[in-house]
Amino acid sequence: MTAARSADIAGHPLLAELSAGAVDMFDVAARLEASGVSDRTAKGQHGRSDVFALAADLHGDRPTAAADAPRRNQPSGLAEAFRRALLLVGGVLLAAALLDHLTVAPALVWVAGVTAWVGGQASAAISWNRLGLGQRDLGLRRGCGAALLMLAAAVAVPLAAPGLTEQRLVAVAVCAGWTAYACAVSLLVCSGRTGAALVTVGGGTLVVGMAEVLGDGWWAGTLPVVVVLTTTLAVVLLAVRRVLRAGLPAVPDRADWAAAAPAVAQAALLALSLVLLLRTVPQEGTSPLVVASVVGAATADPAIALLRARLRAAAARVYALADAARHARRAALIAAAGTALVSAVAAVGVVVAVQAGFPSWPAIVGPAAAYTALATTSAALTAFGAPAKAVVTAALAGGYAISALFSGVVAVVAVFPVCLIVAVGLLMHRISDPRVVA
Amino acid sequence: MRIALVTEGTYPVLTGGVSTWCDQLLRGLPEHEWVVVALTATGTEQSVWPIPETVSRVVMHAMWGPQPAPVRWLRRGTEIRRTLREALDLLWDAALAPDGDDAVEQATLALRTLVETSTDVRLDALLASEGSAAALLAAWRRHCPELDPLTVAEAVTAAGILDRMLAVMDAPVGPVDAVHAAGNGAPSLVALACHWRQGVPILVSEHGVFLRERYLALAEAGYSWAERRALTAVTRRICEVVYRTARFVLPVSDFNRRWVLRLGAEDSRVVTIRNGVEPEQYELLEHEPAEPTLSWVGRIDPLKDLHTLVRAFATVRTEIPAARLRLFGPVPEGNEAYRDSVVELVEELGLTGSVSFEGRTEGSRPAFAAGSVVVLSSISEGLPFTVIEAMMCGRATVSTDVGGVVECLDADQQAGVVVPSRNPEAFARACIELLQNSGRRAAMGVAARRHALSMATLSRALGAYRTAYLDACAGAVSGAVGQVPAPRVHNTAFDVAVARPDELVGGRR
Repeated sequence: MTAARSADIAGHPLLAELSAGAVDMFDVAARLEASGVSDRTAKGQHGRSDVFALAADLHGDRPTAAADAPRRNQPSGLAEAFRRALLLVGGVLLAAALLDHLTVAPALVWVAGVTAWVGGQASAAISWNRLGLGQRDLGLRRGCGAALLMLAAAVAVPLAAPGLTEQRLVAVAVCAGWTAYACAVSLLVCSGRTGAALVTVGGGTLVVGMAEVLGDGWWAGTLPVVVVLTTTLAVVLLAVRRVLRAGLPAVPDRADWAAAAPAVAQAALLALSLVLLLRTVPQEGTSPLVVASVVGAATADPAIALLRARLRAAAARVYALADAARHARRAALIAAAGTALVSAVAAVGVVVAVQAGFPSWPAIVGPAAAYTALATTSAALTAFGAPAKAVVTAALAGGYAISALFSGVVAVVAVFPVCLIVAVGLLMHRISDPRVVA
Repeated sequence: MRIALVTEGTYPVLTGGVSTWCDQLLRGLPEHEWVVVALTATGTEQSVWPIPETVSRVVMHAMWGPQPAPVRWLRRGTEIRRTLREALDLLWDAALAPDGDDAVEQATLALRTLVETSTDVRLDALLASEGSAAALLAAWRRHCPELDPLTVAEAVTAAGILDRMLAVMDAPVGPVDAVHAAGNGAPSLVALACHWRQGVPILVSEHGVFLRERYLALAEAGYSWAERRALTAVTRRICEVVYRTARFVLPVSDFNRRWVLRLGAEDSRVVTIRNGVEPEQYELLEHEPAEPTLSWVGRIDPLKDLHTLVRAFATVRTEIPAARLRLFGPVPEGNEAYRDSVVELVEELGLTGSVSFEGRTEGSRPAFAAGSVVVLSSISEGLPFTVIEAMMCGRATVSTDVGGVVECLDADQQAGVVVPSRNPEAFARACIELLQNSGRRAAMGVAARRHALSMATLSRALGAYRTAYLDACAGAVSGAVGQVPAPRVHNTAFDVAVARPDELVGGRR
């Protein structure tokens, strides 16, 4: 820009403001025109032949980055992940309180748990898939449709199951309630409206906890059951209200089921792995293993959000793809190890709480940490858009559980490291492509 | 003649100016068989237009759907991947290199190579497995040493958008005699691919100047300076390739024509064809609403700058308390947040009772009938149908001086008023003056109708397109990939030596 030219332009703060941060002359021209400067005004008011000439003078010859160029600030999603984790933990605590007051066969508990897990994942996968296509409302309607089908299955399974003659009604209620709760939470999470559900579940958990602390009384028998049922109903109603705002529930189509298939397979594999694994631990280790798994699953969500945020931050400060990949590999290792550690600590805590004998500790804490590491990696692969790899990793968890069941400690020691190396390797490969987190 | 009409985010899934233009073309030239290739967000959108019988096929092609599964195993995989890498290197090199013919030639060669590669494997799957971020980082280091280095995050963002855009070259057009892109950018990439595969001529319309709107949209979208620099550079280069390769570039206004010429189109191949409307569909409106009303018609979109309109209306209300503002038009998917921001502004300014969102209408004439004055507050327009149709109906208009809006009016603005864009005060003053002066409104309506009949009839526009198609096909010389005997692609629209894609395998020129 020549001095003679710049003098008259310098007197126009509006022009200077318009050209600030422009990437080239055409950018300035577009901004000028969008602000009402035409060839006529460029000629009449600024003495240039047209807008392009004025833009060229304003911009100069060389591109210079604007120091104050606005940067996109992507939310980390950590707060939302913590909310999801709290909803999961709250739901499990309420379920435990209910089961404590009902006489339910262990097999039924597992049937209900697996049905709810699979149902919730199917509903969520359908909703998320439509959300990714920019069809949020349709996603909620189809997700709700899937939830209703899952609910029907949750009612049908205990009705058809042999050997539940005396408990059939309780079985139906437990299965349906658990599945409805899981699907409702999935739909609320997908719609980004978890606040009210969290308050509801928190309140319910608090009341049930107080009832336990206060000990025996007129409330001891019925209050927890009533609170759990009320809380479940409230969460389901919150989800129904949210869905109805989007429209009536709709039957998922083939594409929806195709999108849900990996999530369903993953949930089924992980649930069955846990069931198998529970048969490998001593009797006193059942509760610690379940608690450790729940804590691990609850930790996984914030851990994935944290991992994503770290990867984004790393990509925003390195200048070579190889450096970004190195950061990603390290972060994947830390995340898997960290989640396993949290799970192991949780298992130790429960082992201490239930006063299990020292010899059984490794047999409880080891499987808990191993299962959690594989399950978390599988969940991370789903979160980073690799559903097929997530299913493979869930299958590895199944393989590990089977080897633990049939081959004893030596086989576990040999099989688990292989499974873990493959799973973490898959995750590293996935997230070392920075496009996954950008 | 079988003609492919390629659209992006408009016909047949949305209403609005360009969609109206598409419908006019498809119905108005029934002597041709049409294939509509619609580039949409997800490919699952529903058509909102009745498809004419002249259209033999509608192809919905997703631009922003789920990422396709990357290619893992591939026959001649190493060779194809190397060719892809070299083409992407060349494209980003051309984008960030200094302007000139060499850069455009390089970009042409790169794009042509990608089209060639897509005969073996789908480009979207190939780009999903190997994007262009590495190529961008390397090109930035080579050509922008004076700037801060590009971060991986920025490179991935910019390259990701380009890769999605390039992937549209997979769109299955099928055999045609000519391809007409409704705008530069993605539709023109489809046209380029079709041109190189089949040797058919390209015609490109420019309604709002794609590149100009891209600069504005990216600035608004919150991308970093470096991301915008990279993205606009490569988009500009692609636009230049299209303008030089097209048999005809057909801007809808002389305003757009300036941009087309500035970006390297040959003057003799640029023909302005102004939009037209059917006078019988837009008969003179005899009556006005009882209350002083401003009527706005269009899709709710940031480019329409409804914030300025609402702010201007707030000023109008201080002078004319009974005034109303009626906004007619749909909210396209993805623009809900913008609609919400307009609603918030209406509430913030205390205009809730006097501003109404009327939604979609059956035709624009009822919307014009609902207003004493028709208003348009856009920051970018080609040759807006809203203004032409309102003028044909004999309504006074207040519009912003953007794009080809002034070309709709007479020189002394007796047929309509224009004011600077993004200037609520000026907009309000013009509206107040017209709303308070019924005599001037009536006189402007009469002048508007007369002027529209003289320059903006549909038959006139369709005649020009009819001629353009015939001339394009008469002048076309085959440049189809695989049919070109020598490494020099030469057709009448494009006179630049271009190496055959297979030369790339041995090393870049």
